[in-house]
Amino acid sequence: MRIPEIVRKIVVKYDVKRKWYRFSRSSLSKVGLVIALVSVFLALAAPYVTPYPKHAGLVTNFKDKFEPPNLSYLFGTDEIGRDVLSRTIFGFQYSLMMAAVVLALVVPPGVISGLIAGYYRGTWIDTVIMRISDVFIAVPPLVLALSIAAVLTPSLFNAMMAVSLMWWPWYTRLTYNAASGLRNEYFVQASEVMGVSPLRIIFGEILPNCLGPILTKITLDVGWVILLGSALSYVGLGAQPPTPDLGTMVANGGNYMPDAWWISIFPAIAISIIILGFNLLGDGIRDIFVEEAR
Amino acid sequence: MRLSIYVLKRTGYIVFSLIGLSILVFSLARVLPGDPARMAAGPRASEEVVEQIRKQLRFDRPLYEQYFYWVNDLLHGDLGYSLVTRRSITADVLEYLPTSLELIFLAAVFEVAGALILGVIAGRYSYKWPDNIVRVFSYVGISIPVFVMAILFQLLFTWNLKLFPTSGMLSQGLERPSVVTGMVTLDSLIAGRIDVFGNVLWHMVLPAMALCLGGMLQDARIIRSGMVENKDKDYISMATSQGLPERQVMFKYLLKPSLIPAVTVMGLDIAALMANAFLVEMVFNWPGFSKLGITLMLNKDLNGIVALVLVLGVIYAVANVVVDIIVAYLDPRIRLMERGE
Repeated sequence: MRIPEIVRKIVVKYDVKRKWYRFSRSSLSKVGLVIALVSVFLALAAPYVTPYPKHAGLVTNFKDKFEPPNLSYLFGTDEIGRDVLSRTIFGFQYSLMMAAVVLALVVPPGVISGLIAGYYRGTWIDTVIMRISDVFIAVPPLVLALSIAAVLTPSLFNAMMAVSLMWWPWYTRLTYNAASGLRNEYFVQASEVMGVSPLRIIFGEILPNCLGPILTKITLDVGWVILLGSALSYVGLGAQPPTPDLGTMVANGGNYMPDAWWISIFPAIAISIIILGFNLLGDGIRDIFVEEAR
Repeated sequence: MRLSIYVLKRTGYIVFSLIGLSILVFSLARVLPGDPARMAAGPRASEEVVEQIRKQLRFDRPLYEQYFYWVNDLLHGDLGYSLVTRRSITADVLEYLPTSLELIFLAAVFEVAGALILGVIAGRYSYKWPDNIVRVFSYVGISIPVFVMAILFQLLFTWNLKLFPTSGMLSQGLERPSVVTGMVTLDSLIAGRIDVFGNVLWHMVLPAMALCLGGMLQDARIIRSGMVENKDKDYISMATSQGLPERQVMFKYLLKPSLIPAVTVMGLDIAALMANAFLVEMVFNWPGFSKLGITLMLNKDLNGIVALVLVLGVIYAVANVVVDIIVAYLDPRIRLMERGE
């Protein structure tokens, strides 16, 4: 099979082969990549790959309620007879969507404010931005997210808003540390001397050199956002039933423990596996950039 | 820079963040749609009563004035009145916070002890099987959300193995000793009830373990990598070549500098313990601060939520200052760095 020219160009330009080599040296990174890809695939294809797609919603099937895991219901059924396997796979949709939305909302403001604060290190701009971000970091993230979600009305959308509101300062800090370290590098000073505008220096010179830690954090954060989101819905401040959200399912199953353990345990393990996958993947991505920095 | 100046500077930062936090949570509770006076009065109260409450709670004043009244009350130890528990939030906090703190304290003890033991073993036998086991477990441990961990523990240790009580704080038939400190473990010791003390401790083991396991494994990994990194340094080779016993080299020379990054992370872990206690207390039905918190949150008690965030913010801030001081004490380089050199 011929490889299209454009693909080859990209491979050469971004040195994909070497990056892949660094990434793939650890087999754990590959495991992470596989878990991440499989969970994204399952989320996208949920209506086609699940045995009972209708069970994602509010369907009752009382004749099969509380079935333990068996051949027709691999993960068993819940209190109104819905297939736990199907609901768990649909749960991936909500978890991954939450991660995608939250990260899309927090990465741009966090990175931009961090870059600006880092570039103007030591001035009042730095002080204002970093002190504001300190305020959000002054409380454990979960507590602040829970409180914001509670003040708004509990729903999946508001949970995403709550998580986003307390998440951006971490990107500000990360980017600030990277950017303020680069601030006095010769290539930045050279651009300044040549009269390049601050905007251009920030985005053209400093940003590309901060991408490593930022990309690593984004990957790791997919797992952490999913974790926080599931904790919110476990408490009852996130997605509301009958949404097949993993945290909600675990909480609901808790009412039928220990006899119908499968209602809780399978979604719970599914959350852990997704988080594990993105953690391993994030470590692999870190390997790519750490080596490059040497 | 002298340690005392460093401490003052850190404290200054924290006070600043707490003021910011108070403004943040205050505005959070005020920007919401809805009439707080109406909510306080209840849906069936007449207009006059609502007006009266509005005056009484100062909702008719401009926002900045309300803020200053509120802060003034805070500084006098008055966190406001809860519409859910129908009493002063200060009283609620004083009742529920100590039981949470004792759980968190036990978890912290487990975490530090476990991390030290596992980290030193993994560092001593790096790249051998004990190290690999700790590594695999730490990946898995970090990835399991704490409420999942709690549920798994409950399923395994209480329902299947029946080693620990399922939930709650005391077995049936035992009475909570009279409140002195609010911490049941201490109170039972003061009352001289060893049986109650043991019973509470027995109820605490599982939640505390579920609470700290993830952080413990993570800290163990950090101690381990610090040790592996420092192992190749010249001063260790010198100590070894002088014929010092391995035990002495390990604990006296290798461990101390390797602990510094771990102590920093443990500071963050305090935050994790405080937050995760919310979930663990829910699973194990532990009558603590988090139970109060969840009740307030699910019932949308604004005064309560605001007070809760602030109380946790203060505890967290104090804990962080303490950790910073310990780190600065352990590592003089940090003190020097703050001076900007």
